[in-house]
Amino acid sequence: MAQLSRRDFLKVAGATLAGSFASQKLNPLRLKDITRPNIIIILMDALSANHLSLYGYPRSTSPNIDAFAERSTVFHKHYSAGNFTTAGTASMLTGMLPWKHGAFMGGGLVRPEFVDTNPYTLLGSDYYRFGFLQNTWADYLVSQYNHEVDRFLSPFSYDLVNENKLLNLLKNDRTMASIATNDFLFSMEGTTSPPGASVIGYLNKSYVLNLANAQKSARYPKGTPEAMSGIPFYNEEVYRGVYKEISRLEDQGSPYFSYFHLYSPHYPYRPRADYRKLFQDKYAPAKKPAHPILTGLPENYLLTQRSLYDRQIAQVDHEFGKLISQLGKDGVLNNSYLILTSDHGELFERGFLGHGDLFLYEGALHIPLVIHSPKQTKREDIFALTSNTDILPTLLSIAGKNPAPNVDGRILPAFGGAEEDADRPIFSVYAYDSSTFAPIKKAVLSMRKHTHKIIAYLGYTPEKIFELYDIENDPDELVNLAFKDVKLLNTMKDELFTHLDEANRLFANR
Amino acid sequence: MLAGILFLDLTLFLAMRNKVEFQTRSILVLLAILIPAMWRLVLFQNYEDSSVFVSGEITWWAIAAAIGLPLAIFLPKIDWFKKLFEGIAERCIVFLYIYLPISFISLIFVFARNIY
Repeated sequence: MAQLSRRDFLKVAGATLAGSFASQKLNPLRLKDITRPNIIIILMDALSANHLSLYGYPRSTSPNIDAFAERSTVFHKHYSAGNFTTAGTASMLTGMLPWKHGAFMGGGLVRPEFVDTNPYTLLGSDYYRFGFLQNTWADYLVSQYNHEVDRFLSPFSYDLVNENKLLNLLKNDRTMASIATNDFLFSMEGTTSPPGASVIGYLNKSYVLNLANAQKSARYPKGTPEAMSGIPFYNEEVYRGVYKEISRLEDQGSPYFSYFHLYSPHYPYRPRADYRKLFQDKYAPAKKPAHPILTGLPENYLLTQRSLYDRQIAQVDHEFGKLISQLGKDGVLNNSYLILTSDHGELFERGFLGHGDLFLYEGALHIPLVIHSPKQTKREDIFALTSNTDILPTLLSIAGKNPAPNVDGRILPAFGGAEEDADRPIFSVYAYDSSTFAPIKKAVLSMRKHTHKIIAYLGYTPEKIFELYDIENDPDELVNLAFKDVKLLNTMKDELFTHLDEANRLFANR
Repeated sequence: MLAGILFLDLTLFLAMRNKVEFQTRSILVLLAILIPAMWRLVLFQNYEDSSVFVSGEITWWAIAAAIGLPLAIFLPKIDWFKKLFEGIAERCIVFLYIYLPISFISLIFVFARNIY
């Protein structure tokens, strides 16, 4: 074999280097890989399945989602693993339960050893990857793998204030920049920021609220919706932005994964004037018993807020309908999976409004999941129990990628997964009062299995309270069976604690 | 904020400007801004109060100025008060020696990581 001269060696080395640079530079221009479908996730924050007409709510809140469901796969018993944004979103993205991924505090992050388990990293550069997360806590989570996102919008991109330019400038430290600006420098709370920052925080709040006040118009007489940090926005503009971004993704020439985490119908509920007239009915939901630990708001106030929430859902549903119609006309739905879901639900019961806190009732955990497959024309209904930890394994399956390591979730039925595992337990975790870096000792846990659901309060006073409900026959969770069916309670309790012990064992060697 | 305090000393407080009371007066002006700002942020945490926050801003700051500025003028004239504040200021200045270089080094790191 002829020996390689120095000149030839330099040529080869130069060509290799040039080739590797060129492949990186040309990556965005790669040709469309028609074997891989596009994946679009539209997540509506705090959208409870229990408030959608699709799932049997008596008010007609979601006619457009209902129509979309007629050519999609509808999951009827889909649960979030967390009852607020950080825990729920992190579970969807990592495929893990909160007691494993560790992001169970407001604005918390996924444990470093699990950061690479996410759709952006695992789908890889075969996909053009996009993110727009209006909720800053969700934005922090995706910021952890900022370098894996090809186009990552600021949470304020389609809001009524200028976007946070610092996030674009400090790309390698996006998480820190985001936390520093939102939680400290421009914090409008006054209790969490350092005293010196409260002047900047005050000026920020004054600017934002004056702006929001100025936006009050005939369309929004009671003010516009506001994202976290009080940033005002119009749902119309945000959904117009979603359409614009999807059109842009369609044009860029390769399969894409896009995740839109949209803030509405999250509190504060401020529907447009034409939607404020809806639901002037006498609808009165079942009166729930008191919470075993907490007491709170009067029933009348909860009813008023419930109606506002339902109206906000109706407006968001309308915007979603317009978006689907436009995407249908453009042919986007012929080659894309479109997933409609939420990160957690919302409660208006037992003196409590909203989500999070010690409330793991159905309204807070039962979330919608509707998946439209490319060219799907018929509706399919799935009644198996599913968890939002199943989203990541399912995404990887439909993208033809290897299964994710360490995940708790499974591929969804109808998307390559087992049709139904009747013995599967579905867990949800609220561990805001526990440390991410130690075994969980103070938490509220729930486990849904077969027809029943157990809720366990650990580390709170009074100690070791349990609730047991027959969800199939008592979906409103009115009758606590904990004292009536002690045998079943003990069986479910043992299974729940066995899984918690397994999760806590992660810390055994630290 | 420091520029604002200096500006006040060259305008509103010009008549009473002297080096002896500058330190105490500046701290009081600073507190007259910080305390109402923090207090009001804590008072208005509810989304539903946003229009009240906006409509009451002028009144709030007028009252804060009406209380804060006379205090900034007259309290430094009380000897024990002046000594107390100067004592606090002397002890706090050490934090500037810590924070300023740390902030400067941090800024260099941030720029190095993100821009170059």
